[in-house]
Formats: sequence, C-alpha cells, structure tokens
Amino acid sequence: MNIEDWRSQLRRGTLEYCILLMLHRRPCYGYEILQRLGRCAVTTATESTVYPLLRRLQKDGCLTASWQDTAKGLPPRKYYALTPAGEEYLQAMRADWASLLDAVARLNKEE
Amino acid sequence: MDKALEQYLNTVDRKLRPLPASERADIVREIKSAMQDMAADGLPTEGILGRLGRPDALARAYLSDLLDKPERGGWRRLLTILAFYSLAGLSGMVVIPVLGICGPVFMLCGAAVPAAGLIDLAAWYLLGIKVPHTVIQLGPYTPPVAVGFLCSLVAGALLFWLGRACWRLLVRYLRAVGRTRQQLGA
Repeated sequence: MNIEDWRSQLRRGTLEYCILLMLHRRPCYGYEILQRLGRCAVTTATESTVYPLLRRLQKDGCLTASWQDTAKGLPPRKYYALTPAGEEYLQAMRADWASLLDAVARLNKEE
Repeated sequence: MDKALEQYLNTVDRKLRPLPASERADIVREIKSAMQDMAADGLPTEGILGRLGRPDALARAYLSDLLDKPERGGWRRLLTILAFYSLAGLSGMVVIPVLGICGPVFMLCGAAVPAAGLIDLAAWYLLGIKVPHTVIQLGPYTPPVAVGFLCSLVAGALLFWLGRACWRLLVRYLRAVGRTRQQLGA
C-alpha cells in the first residue's frame, strides 16, 4: 500500500480530463497548461507526460494546434484548442466523471 | 540560448529519428519554446533540464505515444524483418503462382465440364449423334448420356468450388503478408 502509487495513478487517469477542461474555456499553450496543473499537487504533471499527450490528442483529432507570435522577446507558442470531436469527448468524460463522483459519494455514505 | 539546452534539443531530435522530419522539427520547436518560457520565469538552466527530465526519456514518451508499440532492439528487429522477407519471399514463389493458376483454371473447368455435358446431351437427344471426345466415365463404367450430364454438373460444381477456394486462399495469403509487413513497419 503506497499512497504515492495511488496518487500517480489518479493523476494519470485524470490528466486528459483536466487538460480538456482547461482547453474548453480557451486555447492554451503547453507551458501554460503545465503551470496551471502545477498549482495543485494532485494535478501536477511533468513535461514528458503532457507534451506527448497533447500531441496524441492532436493526432486523434481532439485538438488543433497553431503557432502564435507572442509579446516581444518571447518565442512563438504552440496554442492548442478543442475541436468539435474534442468537445464531444469532453462531454462524455464529464458524464463519466459525474457518475464516478456520485458512486463514490454513495459508497462513502453507506459506510 | 544556453549550450546545454541546445545540446538537449539536439539529443531529443536525434532520438526522434523514427518520426518524419517535419514532426520532429515541430516537437523540438515546442520544447524550445517551453525552455524559453521557463527561462523567462527565472528558472536557471539546471532547473529547466531538471524539469524536462532525461532527453531520451522525453523522446521515448513521444515515440511510445505516437507509434503505440514498444521499441524493439535494433538487432532483433532486423532479424525479424529478415525472417519475414525470407519466409514471405520463399513461400510466395510457390504459393502465388500455384494458387494464381489453379484458381482461375479450376473455375474455368467448372464451367467447361457442364457445358460439355450439355452439348453431349443435346447432340444425343436432338441429333441422335454421339459427340466424339465427350465421354463421361466412372472408372470402367460409362453411364448413359443423361446420367453423364448429371455427373458433369456435379463435377463442374466441385471444380468451380475448388477454383474459388484456391482464389480465396490466395487473397487471404496476400492480405496476411501485407498485414504482417505493416505491423513490422518494414
């Protein structure tokens, strides 16, 4: 029984959902996503998981990406945005997430 | 840009070799952009490299996510590909011509035999002549023309079925070879 193992599994399982939720509001670039995930210990992720994951989601047609110039002194950033297919995927995840929370809450009460 | 960071990007680029050049360039560009963002946030070079982790691990994460298959050792992979081509090449030399000829020829025979039986039948009953060379023989026994026609129908059906079976086998063989080739990525 290792709480760290459990945490990393939890993180891995929810990472995609967290990223899509973030992109649902507005397009973001990779570093920004990492920073925002890093605000909470539970959602903190590493570069080597998030960047390849973004790329896979793009390949799967959930995201589109575009390079955009930024303020002076900083290089262009690759912004990701949800596609209609990505929105659909997110809605399905939301439904699953809600039913998961519901089921966990019920189990907690029955105790 | 810091030399250590440049070197890191070069290593990632090299390790991403299985990917097309345009994709590699895009990945490296994105990592570079992240590095510059981190530097702008005041992170020193060591801190940036620490966050990114080992370059080969990062490259592998991209490859395993995109190629969706475990990396095989170069030597083992080479042997597997060699074995595949030897096997497919050798078996193909026999399988493809044999099935490719047998299939259509058997199907043709399947149509020709009943046709011959029908000609024999028609000539016997309508013209009263025995067409030479169209003889149905079951061992030493030569059946009457009508029975012979029925026999020719059965034989034709069997031959046609055999031809189709050969043809289907050929198609399945070719598909299997193609699929295996694709899986090997050879």
